[in-house]
Amino acid sequence: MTATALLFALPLIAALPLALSEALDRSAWHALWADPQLPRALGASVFTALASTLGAIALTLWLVTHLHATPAWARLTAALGPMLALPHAAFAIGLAWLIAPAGALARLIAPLAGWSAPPDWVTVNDPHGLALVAVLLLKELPFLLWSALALLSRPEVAASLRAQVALARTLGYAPHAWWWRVGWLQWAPRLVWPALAVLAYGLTVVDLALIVGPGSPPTLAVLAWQGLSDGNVARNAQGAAAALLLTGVLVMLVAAGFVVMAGLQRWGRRRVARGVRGRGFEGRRPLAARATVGSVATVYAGVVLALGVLSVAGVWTFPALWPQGVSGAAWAQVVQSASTVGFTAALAAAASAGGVLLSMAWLEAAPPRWDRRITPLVLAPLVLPQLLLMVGMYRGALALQLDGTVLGLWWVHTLMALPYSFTALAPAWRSFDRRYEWSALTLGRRRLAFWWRVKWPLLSGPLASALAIGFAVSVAQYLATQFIGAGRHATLTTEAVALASGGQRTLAAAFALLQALLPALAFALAAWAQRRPTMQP
Amino acid sequence: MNLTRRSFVLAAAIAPVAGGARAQTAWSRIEQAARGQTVYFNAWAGSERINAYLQWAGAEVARQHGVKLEHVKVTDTAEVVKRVRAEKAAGRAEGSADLIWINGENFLAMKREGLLFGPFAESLPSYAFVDTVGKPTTRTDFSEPVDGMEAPWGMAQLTFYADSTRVPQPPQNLAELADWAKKNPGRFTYPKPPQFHGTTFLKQALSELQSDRTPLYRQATTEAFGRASAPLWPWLDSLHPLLWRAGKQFPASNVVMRQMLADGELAISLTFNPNEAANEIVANRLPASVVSWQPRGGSIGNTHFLAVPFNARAKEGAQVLANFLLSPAAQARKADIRHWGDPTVLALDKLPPAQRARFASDMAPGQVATAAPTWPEPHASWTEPLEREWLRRYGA
Repeated sequence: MTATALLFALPLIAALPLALSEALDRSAWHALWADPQLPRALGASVFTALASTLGAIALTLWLVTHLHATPAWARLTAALGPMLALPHAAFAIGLAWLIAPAGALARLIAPLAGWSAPPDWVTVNDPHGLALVAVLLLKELPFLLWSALALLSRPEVAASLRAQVALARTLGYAPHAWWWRVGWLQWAPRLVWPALAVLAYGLTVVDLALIVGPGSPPTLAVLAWQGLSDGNVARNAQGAAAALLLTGVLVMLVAAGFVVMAGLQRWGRRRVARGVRGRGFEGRRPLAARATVGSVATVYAGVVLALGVLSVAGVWTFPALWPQGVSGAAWAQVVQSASTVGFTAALAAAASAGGVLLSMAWLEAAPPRWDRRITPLVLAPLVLPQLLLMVGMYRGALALQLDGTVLGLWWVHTLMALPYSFTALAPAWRSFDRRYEWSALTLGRRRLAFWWRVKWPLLSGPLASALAIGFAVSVAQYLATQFIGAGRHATLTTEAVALASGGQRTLAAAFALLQALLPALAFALAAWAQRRPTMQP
Repeated sequence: MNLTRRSFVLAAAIAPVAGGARAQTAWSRIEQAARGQTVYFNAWAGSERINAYLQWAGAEVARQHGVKLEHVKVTDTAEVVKRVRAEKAAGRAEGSADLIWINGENFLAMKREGLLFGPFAESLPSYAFVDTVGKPTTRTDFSEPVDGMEAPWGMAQLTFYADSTRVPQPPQNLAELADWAKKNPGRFTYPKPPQFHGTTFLKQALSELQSDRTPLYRQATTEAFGRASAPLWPWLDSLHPLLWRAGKQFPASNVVMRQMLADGELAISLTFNPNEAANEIVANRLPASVVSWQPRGGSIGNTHFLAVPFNARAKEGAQVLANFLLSPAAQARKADIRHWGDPTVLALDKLPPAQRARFASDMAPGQVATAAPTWPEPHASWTEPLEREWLRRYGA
């Protein structure tokens, strides 16, 4: 099984040096340092990624603290699927339209303010990247909540949680006081991988940064992408150098994050040991938390509504509240591309299954020493720019004669889904109580029977969410599909992204809604699987 | 003597025919080999009308020549350049692309790196109608000699457009543009260089500000660049405070600007497709009151092309398709605003009257009323210093 996992890591090992060799060109670094945009672009990248990640983490912890085991929890759980399914870029387009100078908000105010032309607002593409922070935070919050939910809904965690909260109550602590003092001390470290994925995404994201991010200068990820997407080899090298710099910054941020987390844990343990009671008897604030969830859900609903209206809008001059003309042309295009839905879904199902199976094989079989070495490699697709990675992978595929084949496509989609399914599964697997296994083996059960009858059913929640996330990741692949598929296999996303390059907002909105549909189904299935009563230990 | 002279005259009379016949047999061999081939045409697919046009072309070449067209929908031609480059590095003799929609920098890269098949363009039968004299950019792509390594397909020229209800008298040159901006601050801008359209706006300004443009078409030296760009920076310094967000931020691209114009955030936008506004009006995305114009003195223009990679599997099929796309029938449909609205590369006066008649069409709303002269792109060596200096002054 380890060999299988290695087989999948090998193409990456082969692709990385090919991809990185471009970045190690001395003149490329000179050109990068000489770029006057570098300092502010780097600053904007670090600020937007850190602010959105820390904000999303804080909000996740706060919401779970105040909502867990309340009636609102189930409603929140149900709302997460659709939120996760909405593609990032679609969310950005919709939100940008709500707050832009010519958007919904400004049109509502216009009659009162007497505007005949859009106001001089700096609500999107602001130089500090606040709009980008808002989009990232709102889009990553459901992902972190989903990860926390997957963790807390595991039978052994849930049982321990119930017992501890009950104990805390008898000692006179409200549940939220227990969460901050004890609960997160145990479980927040297990959310570290999803949090890192969020940080890596925020630091390297290109499409969102282009839609709502700062423009002059843009973020470093956008500068890297501009260089890498050029046809000119020297500019490619400069882009690769920028991408490598970004990866270095990420590594430093991650290291700093681990140091801070260790410090917080020590501080928390000391605090618990001293028995400081402090404040925290006034009870939870489910109302404030519910209001927060409500406003986030309202923003999402507003975005979906905006996308719906935009997808049929014809001419729509400011400050009209409703388009002057309505057109179904964009949806006609969607219908034309609908023939790709079947292939997209089949490929995504196969890739997410591949990613989950490989993650399971790895988590079951890899010796810890290897685990530490290979894990960063498996996670590489999260942090490396896709353009850089895909050129390397395409060379690998050419060497293996896999270019243009469905097998090659499945292989690359699986590789792209792998880090996500791995981060979704690893916390559950690593913290699985080994005593179940020992008991089963002592009782004379074969390991396979133990897996099939005991372990996997107990872990069905994380498994289902890993499958759903892998599915959504596969559906969203553009460059991977285009490169390894050599342009032979069209998916919903290649169709949508190609059309989106024309910058037609109506088309982008219509396709975004369709693209959201497939993952929404996957997440709904996963939620359904998790709500099924699983066997109690 | 007499005999010799007669045979000489005879030979002279026959020669073109014989040459033509030879060319014809060579071409019919290509046509024969092309039959049954599948051509993977890698072409930007950001416009549903262009995609629909290619669908029509696919049906036609299948019917007329038995060639199957597969449109590989790409967002950026540089992706294809990278793919072919990787294939060459891997020693792949049979590649994934047969025909590429290309020009400028990507063509330059592919030509210099030996990634192209050819020369083939000038031996296509339809090439005889190309307006190589009136449209010199059909033979020089961004100052790089084409040398038959790509076949011209369509024409582009820097064009401005605006809603006539907000801009009743479109500014006809840079000075008028600056005056207009003074009266309407915050309603014009240009994409941030090195985005292609942004750089083109700089080239337009640079060209307009020269009393003699000839140095721009030669290799840029530090001295020549310094001299030519001297009037550009003060002009931009005075223009920028009048632009959208006071010239401190610039939009990412021309398509973003088109949306901003449709939303009313901008009053004037720019494009490289003279028929873009007309197209958008037909598609019900811009009001019919939008008008297009080109600066009266002239504006930067270029040509877009079709190229065949060195390792194309269906080289014959690709040439048959390119020849079809260059034919008067296909060019006329492409130029028709109802289908695409991409200006033709053909010389209409070279065409037989029946073919020429296909190009006649009424002015559609939003089309350029009077075409301005086309100025060629400055030599490619001007782009880099122009972009670098702009970034240094205004980019950060």
